[in-house]
Amino acid sequence: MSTQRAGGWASGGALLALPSLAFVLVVAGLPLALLLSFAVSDVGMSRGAIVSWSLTTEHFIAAVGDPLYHAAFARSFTLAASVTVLCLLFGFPIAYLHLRSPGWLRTVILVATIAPLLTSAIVRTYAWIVILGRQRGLLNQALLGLGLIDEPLRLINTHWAVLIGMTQIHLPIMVLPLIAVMSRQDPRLEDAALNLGASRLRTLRDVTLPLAVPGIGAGASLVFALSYTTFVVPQLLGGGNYLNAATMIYEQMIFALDWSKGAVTAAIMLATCLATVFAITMATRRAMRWSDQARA
Amino acid sequence: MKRGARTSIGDRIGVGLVLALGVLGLAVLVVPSLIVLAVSFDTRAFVSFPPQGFTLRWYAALADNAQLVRAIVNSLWSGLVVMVLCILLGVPAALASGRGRFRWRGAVPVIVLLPHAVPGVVLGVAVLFAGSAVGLRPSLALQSFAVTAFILAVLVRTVLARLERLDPALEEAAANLGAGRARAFRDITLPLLLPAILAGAAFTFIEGFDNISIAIFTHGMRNPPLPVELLGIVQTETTPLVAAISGVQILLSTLLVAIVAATIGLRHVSD
Amino acid sequence: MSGQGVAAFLDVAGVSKAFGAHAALDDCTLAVRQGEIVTLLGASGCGKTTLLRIIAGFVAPDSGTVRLGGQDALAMPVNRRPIGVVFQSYALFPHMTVARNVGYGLRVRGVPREEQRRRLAEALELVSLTAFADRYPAQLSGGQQQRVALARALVLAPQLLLLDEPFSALDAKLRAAMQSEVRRLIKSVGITAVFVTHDQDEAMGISDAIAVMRGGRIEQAGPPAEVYDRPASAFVADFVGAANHWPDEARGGRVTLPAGLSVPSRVIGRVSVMVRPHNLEPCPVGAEGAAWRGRVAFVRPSGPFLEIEVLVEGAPLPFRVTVPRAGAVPAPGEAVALRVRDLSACFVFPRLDQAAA
Repeated sequence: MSTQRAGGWASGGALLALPSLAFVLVVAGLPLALLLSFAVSDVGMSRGAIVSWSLTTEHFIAAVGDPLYHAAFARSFTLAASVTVLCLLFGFPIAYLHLRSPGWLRTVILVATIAPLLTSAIVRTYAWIVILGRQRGLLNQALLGLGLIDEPLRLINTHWAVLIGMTQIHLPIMVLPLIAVMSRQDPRLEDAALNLGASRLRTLRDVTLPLAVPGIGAGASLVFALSYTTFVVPQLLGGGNYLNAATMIYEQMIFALDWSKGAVTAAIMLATCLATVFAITMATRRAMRWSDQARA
Repeated sequence: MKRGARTSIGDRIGVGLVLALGVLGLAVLVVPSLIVLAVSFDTRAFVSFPPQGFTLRWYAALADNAQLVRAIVNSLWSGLVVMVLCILLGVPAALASGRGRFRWRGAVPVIVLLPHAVPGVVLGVAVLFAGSAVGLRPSLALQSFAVTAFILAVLVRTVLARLERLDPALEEAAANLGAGRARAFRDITLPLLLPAILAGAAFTFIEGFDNISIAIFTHGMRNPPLPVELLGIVQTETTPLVAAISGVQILLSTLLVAIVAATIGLRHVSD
Repeated sequence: MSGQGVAAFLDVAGVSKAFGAHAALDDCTLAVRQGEIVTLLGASGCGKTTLLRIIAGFVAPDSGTVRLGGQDALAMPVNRRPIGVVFQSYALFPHMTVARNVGYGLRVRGVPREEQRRRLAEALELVSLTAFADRYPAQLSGGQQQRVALARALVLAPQLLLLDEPFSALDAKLRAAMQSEVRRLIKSVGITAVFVTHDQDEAMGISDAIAVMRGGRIEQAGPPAEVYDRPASAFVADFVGAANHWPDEARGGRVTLPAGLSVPSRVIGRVSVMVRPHNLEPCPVGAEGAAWRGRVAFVRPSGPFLEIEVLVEGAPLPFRVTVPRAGAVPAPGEAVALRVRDLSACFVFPRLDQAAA
């Protein structure tokens, strides 16, 4: 029956929301507006303070035509897309393993998934320096020791190192929404498919996977957004010349102190990142037309 | 046609492959941490594998490193400020959205969640700009505020999710039994929201402690937080000192998650 | 319900409430005498829960008055109304023990410790839950939870008890047991009570009076037997019990049934003659006074009775006939005739439009 909710007790309630809304507006809303205006301005800087500011599209147009920008964003995009796919490739099986496991193992899987999230990304990236390092790296030592190679391989400071590191670091972010969605599924649906004659693999493909689509969508959005915009892993595993959108901003802001360029790069990053996440969300909705949520 | 659990060999191989991928994925998640943990006890002054001997000297060296200790203290402050601000701002926001009766209450979570959809790097740059536009230099406070705006969403979402699962009749029952709004909130709503508030608070604390993408642009030059300090150290330091820092973090985070798993359960977190 | 001249204890007059464009209650009027158990009966969405929530004070009406014991209840704040509520979900506080749940209202009211202890003990005794005082709600069965909810409301000695679908969460067997227990309890305390339910058996079994609601209005109110035997509309007739429909035409104040039997009718034109299943009896084809002929579709036992479904010639839906188990019973497939036991217990209502039916 549609009756008014208990709402009443927490008062009209609008006042309760005001502090957070004001905070978000002042600390995030206005700064982002300023950033966008900086992207179409020339900002004069001196010792961390703004000394001049005039509107011009000069920096923006220069950036859009700059091959360096194209390369950085293209690399960010392909890297993030590959990381997303890899996370899905490992993440879905982990969630499926969780689904099919007894209680204690479920807890172990959850702890193994959540604990890394509470550890600094830098610390987790450091592990890959230990493993992939050129001189004393674990992998190179193992390969040399086994006599499979004569010279240490160049593993770190490569695109592959960045890809592996990023996949590992963002894997939990893919797994958690998948686990959340999949453990809410009615286990009798799988039983029904088996009873109708489908094999386990077929059931996995026809029932479990399609029903996990909301989790896949949520995980993919998060993993893409994060790996598209991170500079930690590229900075540590990609080597000094490894340039993607995020390291470019880092470069421009921290070393070159070129705030106009930094604003342009950040604005382009914001727009492209949100656009891709929006596209993923739309694709997810299309893939789950059967759901009420998608229509709402 | 075979039915139920008895399935063909091909089927078993297929499902086995999927499960094997899962095990491999879990190994990829866990093993690097174990390797770092092992390295952190190495007696040699360089990182190599397999580690030789067992020593806690790198852990002791952490405590002697004034620069690191100060960075940890800075990060603890940041975590604390972020957590307290998020609770003070986020719990009322969740209540307004979940129990309020005003026209635009549906907009509250949307607005609060917006900063979280912005890449941390972009938000960090934006706050740096805004700070300098009004004469605020990067500082621990500016950093904490920026991270708060970013992570507030997580606390609001966690608390709101719990609030929406709470039977509204509970609060009505309290009123029916004579409790005023404040009393009903204190006796009924707050105790039942507490697990969600704690889970959300833990996450906001960790973000405040650990954030790098925003902090790198907004932190005070003289008091960098731990991640900013680490970013430099990792690239220069060759001794197992960094492994010891990692070891501390890995042990603490695993312990924390295990405690949560054993007490309030991980459901609050994984949802 | 109050007869003329008797002052009502709970007096709801002209109450309306709309949620957006949806009128949940439309000029609702209800009078309940002291000590009476009244049930608001209706399908979901009929406004019965909204009416209950308005009386309790969780929702404010758009217009109308609610008086309790002669006082304006709408003027009292929700947490100061002398009204106890048993919620559909029971709304037991999950983090409080049975004793703390039941004692909550006493604590909030600042009742002296000693008196708190005494009244709590009495209330637990009343619902036979003394031994469960230190359990948490999650550790109780559905029936026990319901008794806690009842004790929690009654311990404050309210003037009125409201129960919102209190049995809906119980399984069928327990439901029947709890219905008579709750009725006995309420009567022993002597409190005035208003139930809300969509289950007509429950309404019949527990109430002194029933108010059948439809589309935000009370369609008929009265003692259960009166509502069942003299329904005011086809809707009420159908809602409070099974009824067979015979489409016919009424002329000159009468409807003439196939065997030449006639039933008085207040309406003319297309009508539906409604006969309760127990008001029909099967008889051999061609027997004297049989109104209808048909074929037995199937026979099923229903407690001490048998329920026979007969495909009647000329009727759009099969007829249901209830007969005692003793005696000869027609077998499925057999041709039978049906006789009306008591013609005065047939009701005639205007036929609903075919398209709308």
